[in-house]
Amino acid sequence: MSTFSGIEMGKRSMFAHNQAIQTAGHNLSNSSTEGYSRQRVQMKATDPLYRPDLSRAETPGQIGQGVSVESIQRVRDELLDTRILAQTNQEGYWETRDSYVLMLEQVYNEPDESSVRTRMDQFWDSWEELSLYPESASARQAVLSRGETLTDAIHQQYRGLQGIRDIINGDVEAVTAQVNDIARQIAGLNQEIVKVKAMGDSPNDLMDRRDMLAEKLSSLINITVDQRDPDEYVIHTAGYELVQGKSFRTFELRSGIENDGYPDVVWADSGKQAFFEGGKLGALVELRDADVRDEIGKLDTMTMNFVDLVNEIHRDGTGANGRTGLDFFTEQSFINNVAGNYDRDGDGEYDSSYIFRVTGGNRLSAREQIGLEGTIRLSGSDGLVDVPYFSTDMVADVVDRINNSGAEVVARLDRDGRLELKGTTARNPDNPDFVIRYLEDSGHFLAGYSGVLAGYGGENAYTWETADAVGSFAEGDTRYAVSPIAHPSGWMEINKAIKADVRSIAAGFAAEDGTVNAGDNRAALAIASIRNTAVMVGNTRTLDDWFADSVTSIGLKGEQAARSLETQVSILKELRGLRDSISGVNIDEELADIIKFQHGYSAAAKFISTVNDMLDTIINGMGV
Amino acid sequence: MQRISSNLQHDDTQFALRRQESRVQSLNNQISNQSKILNLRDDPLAAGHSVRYKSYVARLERYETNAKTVSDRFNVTEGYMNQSLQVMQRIRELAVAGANGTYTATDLKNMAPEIDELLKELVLSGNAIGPDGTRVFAGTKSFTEPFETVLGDVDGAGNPMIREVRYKGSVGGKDIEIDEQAYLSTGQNGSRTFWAEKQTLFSTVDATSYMVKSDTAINVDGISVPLAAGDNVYAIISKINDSGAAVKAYLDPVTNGLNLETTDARQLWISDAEGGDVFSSLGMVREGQQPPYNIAPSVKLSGGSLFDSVIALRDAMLEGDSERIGSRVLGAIDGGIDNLATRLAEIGSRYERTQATLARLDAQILNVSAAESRESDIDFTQAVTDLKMYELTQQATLSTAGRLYQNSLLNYMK
Repeated sequence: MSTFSGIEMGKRSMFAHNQAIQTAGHNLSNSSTEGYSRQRVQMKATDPLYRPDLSRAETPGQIGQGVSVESIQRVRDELLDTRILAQTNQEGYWETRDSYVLMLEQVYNEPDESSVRTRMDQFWDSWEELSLYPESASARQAVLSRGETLTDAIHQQYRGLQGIRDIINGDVEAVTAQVNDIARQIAGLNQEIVKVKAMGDSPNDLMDRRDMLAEKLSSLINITVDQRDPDEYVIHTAGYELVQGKSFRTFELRSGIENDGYPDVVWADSGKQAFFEGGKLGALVELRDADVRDEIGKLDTMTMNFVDLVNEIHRDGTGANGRTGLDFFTEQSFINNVAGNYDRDGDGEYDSSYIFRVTGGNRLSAREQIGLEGTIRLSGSDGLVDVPYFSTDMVADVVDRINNSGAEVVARLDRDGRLELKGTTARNPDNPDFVIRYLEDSGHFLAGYSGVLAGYGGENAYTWETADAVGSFAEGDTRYAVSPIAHPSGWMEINKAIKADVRSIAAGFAAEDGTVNAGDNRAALAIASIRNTAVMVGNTRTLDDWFADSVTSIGLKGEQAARSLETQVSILKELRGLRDSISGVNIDEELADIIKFQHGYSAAAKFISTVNDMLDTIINGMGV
Repeated sequence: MQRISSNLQHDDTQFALRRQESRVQSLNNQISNQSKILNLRDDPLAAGHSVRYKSYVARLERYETNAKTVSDRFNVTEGYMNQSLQVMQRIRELAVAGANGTYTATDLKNMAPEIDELLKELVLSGNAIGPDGTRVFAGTKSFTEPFETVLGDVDGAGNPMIREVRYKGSVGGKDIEIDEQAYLSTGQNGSRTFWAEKQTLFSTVDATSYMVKSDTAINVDGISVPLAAGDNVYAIISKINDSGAAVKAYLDPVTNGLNLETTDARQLWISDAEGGDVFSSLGMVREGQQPPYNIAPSVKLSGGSLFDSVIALRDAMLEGDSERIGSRVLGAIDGGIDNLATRLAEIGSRYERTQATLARLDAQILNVSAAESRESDIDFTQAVTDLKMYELTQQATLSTAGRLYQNSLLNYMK
């Protein structure tokens, strides 16, 4: 045993306890730091003397050599961290959905006094007034003003929805930049941490910071963290690697013509589209491309159908100034071509027909048995939908079956008893809205009976993918209407001819010689009846159904978002509480530890001074 | 949890306080807006119902306005018809007096001017203008005088007198919606109201070999009857009889022509639809003319209007023919009075119907408003009680938060 081993031991002990007090002080200082996990000094007894080898001294051992600090560890449960990462992803998703769905709900302005529905009711009211006083010019003025108010309300709702979509898009861009930034920071930290670990140290604070960034990233996109290899910290997302050690990949935005010009999030290096589930970015993309697009689609459906129904009746009516054939509403961006021909791929040649509605030439009676059988093929959201009909069916049964079949074509019998087929919004964003894409009948229902198609079977089918497809329609009194190119709800207006002369508004129908009686109110009654009869607005039967359905569905989405968010917040609160209980700083505990180590320190100092006295006796007291 | 970190208590209190604040705030909002549904998510199903009810109530109020307007119009119409009825009673008195054979021809001639004046009064009633500026008895031709008088020379009179009264209005009825999808016909056409006898049209053209060439339609009394190619006259007859027009069609047993007879006293209007030629091929109408004056000359038309019967009375009086007065003319006048009385009863019953509808609409509006209120309005008592409870909870939490960090080891260390 050497002379100064006691002092060395005391010195070691003082350093160790000093270290421990420093660490306790560090914990105390960081007690309110976010993401901080308390650190503990791991002390171990120094290797004792003597090991069984040739240099062993002949004295009973092993003699302990005091304390040394082995490492400074942070107290952290990594399994709990993984769970929290997964839940944070859900919380980020529902939080984003909650706030944006609330904005969508507020656009509707229901059940308030100034929504699209109340304007529609007032418009209807003005037509009823016109039916009471069909000679009156002031009643026509009321129709015009209320029509303008309705148009304004629809525009406002469209712009509100479009505005929300633009805001969400801005958010998508910002969050993508945020994700890239966090990935870069994590990769930088990985590099630092590996270097520190190579020196044998524990980079506790760096790892705390990295964990916090991972949690932040998890609330933006869905990630999994893989720490099985201690030298390489890997983050996976959507099946691909995002961060691997010090290398990271980024995302960028790529615009397309589809999806209304809104950009998709793609991997920067491969250009492939990135699909996120959950997290803020996942929620934003879903909101922008599914939810808000659906809402705009619903508004468009209502507008398109309503405009078409009013125009159809108004065209047949004659105004007080003798003008007939006027549309009541016009849409700025209708396809100009009378046959609905459109150049879809931009090569200068017409290649598609955009037809919204076709009305058959024959008058049918709803309760008549058709006595025919066959299968009607209609375009659906993916592929074709078959609708069979049998000889014992009534016409109304076939119409119901078409409407319930899930195809993107709906049917009804109009006021003259003719079969009317209309296209709805398309689920797949690659298909245009309000276009009938395919009509085929293996039997005679569409061909001869209702007078829609010119012939039966596959060779006489109507398909939108050729120009002049209207040739497949039957000869005779078949009528059709072209589709709009842009969103109808953003671009509908009242016909300028009507605004110029309010007496052009038709209240009645003309007799055979073209003159209309001043007191004839049949057109006004017919237009008023649109409000509460089954006119097939997309897949809902009446306008009342559409209003109630749109309000309830967005309300349910909001309720779901609010409840799910509440659930996620409670779950995370529990988990974070658990993590806090493991890794959080308890001030009383640290203070007690400081007292303990302080005593240790004083004891070590006392030991050193005792050894010092002993040495003093040998060196100065033994007079040699 | 065994170990409580120092932050945990603080975090818990904050969480609870934020929750309570948001609850109190949303209740306050509900109370000040008197509505349970501030955002659609508060109760989506109730919002859907509430929206439907609101629109329904708006529609019911409109139907109420319509029904009231219609009943006012009936009142006005009834007033004029009553007046006409009074005039007709006076005319009948004179006719009965003239028919009893105690007056000489000169006496009868002196009664004729009074009949003429009463006729003019009748025409005036027929041409009455309602309070909104439209002609009451002109059907849908609101600004056209329905009864046009043709003056001319009459034997035995010194001045030109009314020889013919033509109906210039239309036969279309004016429907008004007084309840959801329920239409009430409000028109009182002069051709129905001021008519005395059933009109019968006797055709002389043999129709047994006639066949319709292509799909077309004919208009009978304002109702369009569609005909298909290949229909023969029997098919035409059955379609007319089934069409719902107040007209009976049959084949004349003598001439085999298509005869049409109205089922009650009214003027018969027939015409071909645009591009059709059924009636003109059968020789019943003249092409290019408007009904009711498009009947072909070869067709015999019988059955006259109220005015015709009064003109006949006056002419008979001028000629001094009391036989005729007592037989045909009196019959026609009685027919006219009967018809007028029937039409009055019709108006009366329609008026009753609108009153019943108004009563029902009143009750309906109340019921639907109550249902709507149940869905979307706030229960005030419950809301205030809840508010008080939340405020109390909030107070308790706040006072606990204030005492959180009072005890720590620091207090006990020197």
